[in-house]
Amino acid sequence: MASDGTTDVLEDDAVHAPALARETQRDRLLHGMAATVSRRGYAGTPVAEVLRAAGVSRRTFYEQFADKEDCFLAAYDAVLGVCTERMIAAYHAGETWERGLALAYGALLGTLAAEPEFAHLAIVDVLAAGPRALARREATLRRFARFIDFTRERAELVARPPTLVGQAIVGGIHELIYSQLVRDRAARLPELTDELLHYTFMLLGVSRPAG
Amino acid sequence: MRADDVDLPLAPLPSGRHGLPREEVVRSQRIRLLRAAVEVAGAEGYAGMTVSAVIARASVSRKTFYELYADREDCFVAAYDFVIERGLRQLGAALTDDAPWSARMRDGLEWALAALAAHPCEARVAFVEVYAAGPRALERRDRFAGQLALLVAEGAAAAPAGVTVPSSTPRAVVGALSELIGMRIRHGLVERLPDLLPDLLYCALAPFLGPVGAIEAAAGGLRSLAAGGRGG
Repeated sequence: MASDGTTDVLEDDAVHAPALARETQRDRLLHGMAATVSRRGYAGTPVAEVLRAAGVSRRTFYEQFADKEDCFLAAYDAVLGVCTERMIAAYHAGETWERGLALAYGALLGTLAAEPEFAHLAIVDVLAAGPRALARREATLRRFARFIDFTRERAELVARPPTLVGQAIVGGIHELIYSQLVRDRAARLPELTDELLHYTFMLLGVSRPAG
Repeated sequence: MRADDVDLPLAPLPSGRHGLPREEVVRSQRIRLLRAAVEVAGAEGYAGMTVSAVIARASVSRKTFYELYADREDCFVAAYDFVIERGLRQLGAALTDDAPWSARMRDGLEWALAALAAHPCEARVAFVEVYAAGPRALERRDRFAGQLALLVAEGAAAAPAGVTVPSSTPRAVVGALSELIGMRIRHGLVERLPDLLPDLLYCALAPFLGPVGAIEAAAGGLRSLAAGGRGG
């Protein structure tokens, strides 16, 4: 854990770079899905439009994916995978759990800001993409809540909050990200880091607010 | 829409010459369609809310449906507005203006959880199906969340000295509550929502009062509830 700030700088560079590769035809299709669905919504996205955005043939699409939903879910998993990986790496770079959480939030918001179309897909469009997408989303929120609960085990608590507080923290964070994305303000997401920490620490039962 | 609309009977008007003015007939048809839309979307989801199902339940002709609404999305959005406007009006009536903020939060949550448990179709429309019904429904949901956040925002003044509550906190609280409520509705646990009152109250108060203050305020509030009291 570097205390001279080197890690922070590296992390900052990493989280503000585009997160998702564009190398293979499959990558391009995922980008095409994100670009189209974030503009037109899930219901208003025909496969033909995804093909056009990706510059890939229909045959290639159906070699990679069973249907539109399958491609959407793959794009969702791709961006969530990157977010999770970067959050965990950032968390472990923190010398204290509070600092780790701050870095993890920064990594999440920075990744979403760098990939606004994927962010819109994963936070907004997923809600309208059918039961499998909703189940995926719920599993994600549960995983993030477990991450919060895990950090809580390292905290010195002044109070014992109810067990569902992890879900409440994730729900609140989700709402703030969501309301930026529906206003096309993905670039401003990183500015939320301190506010999300304040909200988190107050709910967790940590003695001091974020600083 | 008028406040007493919701009390109109659901039964269709007698056919033929019933002597009601045209606007009364339209109003009655509109209310029947909205209630039918809530019941169908609440039971089958937005995906199952076909125009055929709504008009059958409302006993209204397809032609009349399309005179009033452009399509099923338009009808759903109107039904959502109908549920939310009525809910906000009743929520306002359940709150005492001069009560302390934490008591207003407790009273509001207690009312909301009981109302949702008693009206599972409305609950599903407001907290689950709204996300599936397209961009206009999402805009309405966004506006509704903003209205609730204004009620929660009064808590900033209740924060302990030296603590500045970020301006986004009320919206985060609304998001947390709606996620916790929505998840239970999706899992068929709508009837048990009132059991969540103490935990949800903590989640609403803690971002403003801090964890200790929230536990004390919630415990005090719940003690007075148990004693049948309604004061702070």
